[in-house]
Amino acid sequence: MTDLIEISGSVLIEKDRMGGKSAAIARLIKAGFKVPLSFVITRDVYDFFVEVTGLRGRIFLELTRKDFSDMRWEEMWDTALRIRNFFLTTPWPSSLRRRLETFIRESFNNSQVTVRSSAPEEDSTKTSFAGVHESVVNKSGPDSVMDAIKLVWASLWSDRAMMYRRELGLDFNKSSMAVLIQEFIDGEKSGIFFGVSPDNQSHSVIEAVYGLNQGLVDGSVQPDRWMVNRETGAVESHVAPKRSIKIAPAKDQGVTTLELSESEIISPPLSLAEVETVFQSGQEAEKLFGFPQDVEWTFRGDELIILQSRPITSSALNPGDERSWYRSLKKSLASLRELRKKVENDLIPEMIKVAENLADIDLNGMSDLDLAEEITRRTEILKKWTDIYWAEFIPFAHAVRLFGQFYNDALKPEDPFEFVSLLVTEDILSVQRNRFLQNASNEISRLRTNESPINRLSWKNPGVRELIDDYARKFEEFSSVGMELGNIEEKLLDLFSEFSRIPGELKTGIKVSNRDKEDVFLSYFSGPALEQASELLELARFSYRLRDDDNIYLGRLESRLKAALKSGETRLISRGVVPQGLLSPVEVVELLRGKRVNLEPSKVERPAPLESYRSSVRQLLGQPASSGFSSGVARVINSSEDLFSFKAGEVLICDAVDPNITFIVPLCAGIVERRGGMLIHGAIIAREYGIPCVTGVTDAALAIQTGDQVTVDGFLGIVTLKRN
Amino acid sequence: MSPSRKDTSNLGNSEQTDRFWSIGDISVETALPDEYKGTVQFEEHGHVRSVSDLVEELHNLFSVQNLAVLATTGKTGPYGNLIAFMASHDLKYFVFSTQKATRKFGNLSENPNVAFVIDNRSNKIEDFVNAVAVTAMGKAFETFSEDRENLLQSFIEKHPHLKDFVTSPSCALVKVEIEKYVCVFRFQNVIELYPKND
Repeated sequence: MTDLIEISGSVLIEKDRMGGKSAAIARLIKAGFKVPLSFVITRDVYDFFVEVTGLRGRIFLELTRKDFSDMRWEEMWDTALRIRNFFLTTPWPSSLRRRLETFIRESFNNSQVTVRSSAPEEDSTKTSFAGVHESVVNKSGPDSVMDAIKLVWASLWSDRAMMYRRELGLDFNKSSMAVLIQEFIDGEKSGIFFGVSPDNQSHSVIEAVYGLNQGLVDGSVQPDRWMVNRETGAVESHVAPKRSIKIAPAKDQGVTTLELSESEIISPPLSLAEVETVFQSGQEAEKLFGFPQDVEWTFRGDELIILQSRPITSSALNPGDERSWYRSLKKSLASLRELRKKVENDLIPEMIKVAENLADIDLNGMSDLDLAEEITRRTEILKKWTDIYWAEFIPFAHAVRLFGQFYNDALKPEDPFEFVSLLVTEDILSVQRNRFLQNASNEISRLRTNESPINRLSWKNPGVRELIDDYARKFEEFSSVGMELGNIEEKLLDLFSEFSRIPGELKTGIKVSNRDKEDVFLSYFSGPALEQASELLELARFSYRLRDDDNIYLGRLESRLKAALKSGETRLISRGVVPQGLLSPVEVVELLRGKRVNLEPSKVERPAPLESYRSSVRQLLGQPASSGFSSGVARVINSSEDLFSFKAGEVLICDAVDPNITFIVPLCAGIVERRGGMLIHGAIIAREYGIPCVTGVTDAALAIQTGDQVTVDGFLGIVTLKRN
Repeated sequence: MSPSRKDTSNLGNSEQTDRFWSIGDISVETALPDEYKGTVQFEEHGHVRSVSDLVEELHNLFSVQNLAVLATTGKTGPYGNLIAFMASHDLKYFVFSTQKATRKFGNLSENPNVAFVIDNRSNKIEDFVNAVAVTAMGKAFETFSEDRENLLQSFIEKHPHLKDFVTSPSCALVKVEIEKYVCVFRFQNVIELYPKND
């Protein structure tokens, strides 16, 4: 039995060992189709690698940290990135390294190759895994091909692949991966053939682009599309996009984006005769396999070459297929570039303007009916922007993820999240706010030494007054936090005082000395790759800043709604209509309109206390989000009121650290958060301040009480409790 | 599963092991003539073993078993838990790792005396005949010494999936100098094994 096999006409087809894609290639070769020179590294090699290096156990432990059903997809991505890094940083066993080097050299003689996934569970009629696993295009030489093999193996554990398996109920422990290595074909035009159109089952679909078909597959290049009648072979329709770019091999390795020539822009990639050739070939493939096929092909000169062929899954033919959603988790550089333009030039400025316009409105001068109208309007505005947040801003967060992979591929760091430190820049709002707080605390210390030390500083002190006013002006989102608090100035003064108690080195706060790290990162690239690296870093920084700032802008809209609600509640309370506040927007609106409302006793839903459970929790497991090991007294934050009770040196326990509350982070000895992820605000800011942080602790706010002694292990993601 | 006798290539020769270990306090069904102590080879499933056989058997058991029960002593009394362990080739010491916020680490800081139980039971009635259980006693210390790196690598070699855990700065690597083994075979046959002083 050999595990490194050339796929020839006489090869023995073993799908379980060579994977679905390679088995299909073997059948195509036997049937006389023109396919690239192909070799397969069977799943035995994967199994050997993960076994002898201990990776199998490490992957298992990583996957079982937390119940899958409790994980957000961001956490799955984090898990996937960790596992990906296991592969990148695990050395090849020396005997295997030597065998693979020889195999690659002898098979391809340093020419360019494409490395494709070929998992045994791929490409069946039930589970296609189309677009789920990785392919690495245009690599040469044993070192880069072997890196590519590791990346393809790791894609078995990508977030998309894990979600796909979970949905199909496949057993993770049985997952394995063969790898198909093919001679790289620099086709002039490429595309896909879809045997049966999901929209019309009597049609086949052919899509084609200039250059390589990577752009078509990841959605960054719009294809020409032909509908062909399955019975007659007649072209029923042709839809041409606005053609502008193509994907082509980069000079050294990998791919790059090129502008199309004038003649390419005006003419479709395929002639009608070529459309017919592709259609004929697709029909023959369907005959060979017995099912309608999803074929990737390319033209080199006049020669049609089949790159891969897989059955169309039955679910793909049914409406509601979620394939596109899995694909949307992988955004290309080109599509992110477009999304950035939209977010930066249109959405964010508009959002700021909307908030400003709302701030200018005089609520007190309004009639009850007008105020009711205004509350409804503000509720709708907030909903609209929350929807945009999910539809546009969250997907844009993928720029950070793309950069993270890019960084890790090049530098192979031990810490898969090392790249995050490159993303923090001065212009992030929460960074500016925390700087202000630090300066304010210094100022308070100065004022205090000038005053009698016995007298407590008063907010009526002109110096302090000025600081507080200045703060409120600059960081207006703070008003949404402090809205329900009557004596905001006193609270703020307490906060300033706490800041003056933390050690000097923490006060300097976020160090934005990324220049060195940036230089190290960029030194790994040259030529066009350097340009790509710079662009991706810039895009990721913008994405990261957006993740912080968009929440703050959204917070402003929320505070506008709260202001209108507060105004309404104040009127209702002063007239004795309701005893106290905390009504829902709908209730306030109805009451202002003079209607009757059955008031629920409490709006705030908290899970029932689990007394016996609470007293028994000793240790909780989450994700290690910021390294360090520290202990302190827990302070559970359930409402904005709690924030102002926070004392320097306590451990922050909360549901989620959103940017509107990150101002207390410098005071924390540690942070424990229910919401999971490495790229969430709490984790990012904790890393910047060097504060141990564990995220994704499902029961954090339930199990931990204010006053508990808590140890936060930010290396391993462990929280240990000791109740006095 | 009873310990295999086959894979002993990495053990070193038995003469060498005999110099480091001695059998004592033998409690067996059949009385053991004095002159046989520690020198005579007994039949495969007999009640007593020569030192070299015993050492070999323990070594195999410790290689196969990943987990041991660790007993520590705290202020309020004894405490036990499962840990991943590694035994040295000469069986002179054990190595394990613990996070520093744990009860066991707190106990170890107060009192270095520990005991381990390692066994190969399969949770069937046959265990009373086939299972081997070994209690190892000794003193535990966190390692900072020069050989820390070697111990760490040997531990990772046995438990490669625990690499991330054991290399975490929040974890201690603990070395236990073994003072005595109590080995139970076939339910009630007990042999004690002591390291000889150098």
